[in-house]
Amino acid sequence: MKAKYLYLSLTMMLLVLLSASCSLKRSNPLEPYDAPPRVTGLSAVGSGPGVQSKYVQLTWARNNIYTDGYYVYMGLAYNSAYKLEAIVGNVPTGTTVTTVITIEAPGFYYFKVSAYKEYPPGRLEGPLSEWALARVDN
Amino acid sequence: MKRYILFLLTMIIAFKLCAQSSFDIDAFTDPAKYGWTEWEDRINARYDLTERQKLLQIYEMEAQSISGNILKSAIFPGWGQFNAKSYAKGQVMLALEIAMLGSAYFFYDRAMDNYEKYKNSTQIDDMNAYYQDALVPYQYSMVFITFATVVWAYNIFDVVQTTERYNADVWQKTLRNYYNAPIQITPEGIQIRF
Repeated sequence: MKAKYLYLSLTMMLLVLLSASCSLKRSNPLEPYDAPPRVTGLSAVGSGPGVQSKYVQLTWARNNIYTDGYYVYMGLAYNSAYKLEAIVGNVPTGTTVTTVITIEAPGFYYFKVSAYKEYPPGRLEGPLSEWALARVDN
Repeated sequence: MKRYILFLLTMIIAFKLCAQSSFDIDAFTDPAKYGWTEWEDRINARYDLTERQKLLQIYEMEAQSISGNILKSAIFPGWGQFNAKSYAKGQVMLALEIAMLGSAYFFYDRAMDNYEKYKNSTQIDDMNAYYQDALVPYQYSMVFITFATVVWAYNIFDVVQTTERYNADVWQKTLRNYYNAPIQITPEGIQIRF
């Protein structure tokens, strides 16, 4: 009798393990392609006091592989939602990339940058960089 | 050819006749094999058999078909148990099945929602995050589907036992009603109980 319950329990455990091992197919069309590497060396410098058109100048290290351009995201806190602010394509040769983002109001702004690469199924975006903080003076 | 067939038929009939001759008529007609010691025992046994045959007809009218209840429980878990007047079991089976299938559907729906986002995402971090968000509920849904299948299988197994028990109760009830009836007609006459 005990052996019967033991076999039943083992069968149940086996069934649960088998069902839990079921997996979903990785079917994203961009999945087989190489993703651009993470952008590094991001720094942000805001415009100083008294400047009419306020801006933030961003600089980061240029990616050498799998990169056709960059996305620039901006947020109001380091852990807030980041909104796409600019797309930087046709990057000139060099070791760094620099871009300028126009800002409406003075304050603290957080930025993140990611690289992208064009593939036949579409544009594949790499991981986001670490955030960089810029202070824009009044 | 016809001769061969005729010969074969003759042989078969002869074999059958020989076989009949070896039948043990003494053992067949031995009245002691039923434990009857007197003539009255045989009459009583015959009476009992006739009565049981009558009761069997009553029983068959009230007894339930096991295959019918299996079919009902297979279509709708707990239905067979409800039919066999085992309401608590029927409710438990139905509730368990609804809970398992409902949970499986809930997790599957969530998994498919995230899987759709995964398929449409173009950012590598989102892609991995949505895939993980889809995979975990999908595995939960598979586990709940397995539990639902196990409950369904147990429900089928249980309905056989429940129906057998119900039929046994019906037989006992039929016997009880018959023997406890206030008026009984027996070979000895009419018996009235007060």
